[in-house]
Amino acid sequence: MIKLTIDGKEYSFDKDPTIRLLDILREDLNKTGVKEGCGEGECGACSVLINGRLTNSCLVAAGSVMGEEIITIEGLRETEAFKVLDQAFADAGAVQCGFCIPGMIMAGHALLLQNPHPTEAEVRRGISGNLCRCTGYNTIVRAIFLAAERGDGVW
Amino acid sequence: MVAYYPETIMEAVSLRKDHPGATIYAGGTDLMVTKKIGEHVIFVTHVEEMRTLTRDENGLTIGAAVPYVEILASHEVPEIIKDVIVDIASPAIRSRGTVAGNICNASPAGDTLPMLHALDAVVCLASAGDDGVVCRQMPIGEFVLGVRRTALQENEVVTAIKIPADALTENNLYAYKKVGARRAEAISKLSFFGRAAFGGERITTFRTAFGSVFIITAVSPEASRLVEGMTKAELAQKREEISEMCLKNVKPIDDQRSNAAYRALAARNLLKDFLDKVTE
Repeated sequence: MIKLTIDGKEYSFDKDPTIRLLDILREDLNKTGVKEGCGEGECGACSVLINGRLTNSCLVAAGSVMGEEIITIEGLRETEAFKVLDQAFADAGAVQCGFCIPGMIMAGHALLLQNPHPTEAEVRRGISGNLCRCTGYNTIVRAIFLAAERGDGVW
Repeated sequence: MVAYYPETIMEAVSLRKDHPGATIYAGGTDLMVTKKIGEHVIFVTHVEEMRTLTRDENGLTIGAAVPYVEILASHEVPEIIKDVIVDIASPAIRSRGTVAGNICNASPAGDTLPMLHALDAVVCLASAGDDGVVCRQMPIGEFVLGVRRTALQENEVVTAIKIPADALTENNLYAYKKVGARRAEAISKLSFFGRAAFGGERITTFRTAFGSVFIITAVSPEASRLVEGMTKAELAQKREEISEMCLKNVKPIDDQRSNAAYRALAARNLLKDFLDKVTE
């Protein structure tokens, strides 16, 4: 049995322990906010937080994260941090096709957790594992800055 | 697929004894891409003894299950090592990937390999004996044998990587460069790590290591033997001969990331910068 804590709830799955965490999130739990892009850790669309650290859920065997705390974009939705990021992304015009955005939000959130007032270089490094096929990086960077500014005290 | 969750090194090596060749999973960031996972998989991710990072008079010991992000966060780790680690992949991969995994994956482009060669790193291997855990240590140069080939035996587990204190003292001079198509998430076109240590007027240690230019890291023990004991002036005098020695095992190929001519030239230029620094 694979026992996982996802978005604050506990689940058990009778599955191959090397199944990708991404598949459990999308197929079993219907958390389709977690996207699959490349499936090999290059695009960051499937990013989740595991014990507060940004992680590609496509590169994680579900059996390897038992006992760790997994937060997806769908769990983050309920938080103040998400509200600030969501509004900042909208106001900065950071969302084009939208496919990378759940991953970008997770990357932004993970960065701000570690470093609530990052420099531009730190923001760019923070999202360096997330690809935006619309290439709208500048507005995404601006959105994360805006979130850091408005969300002072949230992270 | 049968999974095992050892909590100690003893349990991990017992599992490898009972299931020789079972896949060892630490961070999984390479394994989950290649999917080369056998019928038995041993998750060492949470083996506490393999999650420690320690520095003492003997040097730095990086447990085999320590993810890159913890190396970057540690105050025990010298900046030169962090310079290499921060160039690996992306933040999300650094959250889980490990140095031990990078070594065992044994890619010619393994990002940590030139550094580990130049720092005289040693791989700690454990297996189950009659009276408990049996350990042996092996220099990194003897451990990585070829593309995806290592000296790890079917009953063994890598438990840690050790970097000797000598390689981290202040009398060491380092040069490091990863050449990739972009700053993050690049698989290197080539990489270089050089180290020279000084004792008074003389060079006491001399290491050059190139990645992605041969099936294994290109090093030159002959150059080390020749240079060690020289003064800077003597090195400057024999510079041509030493350069050719250092580059002898640089035998790059054309592939999707780069081509042989570029790699050979860039290797030569990186070596030149390093020798300039050493003889300065």
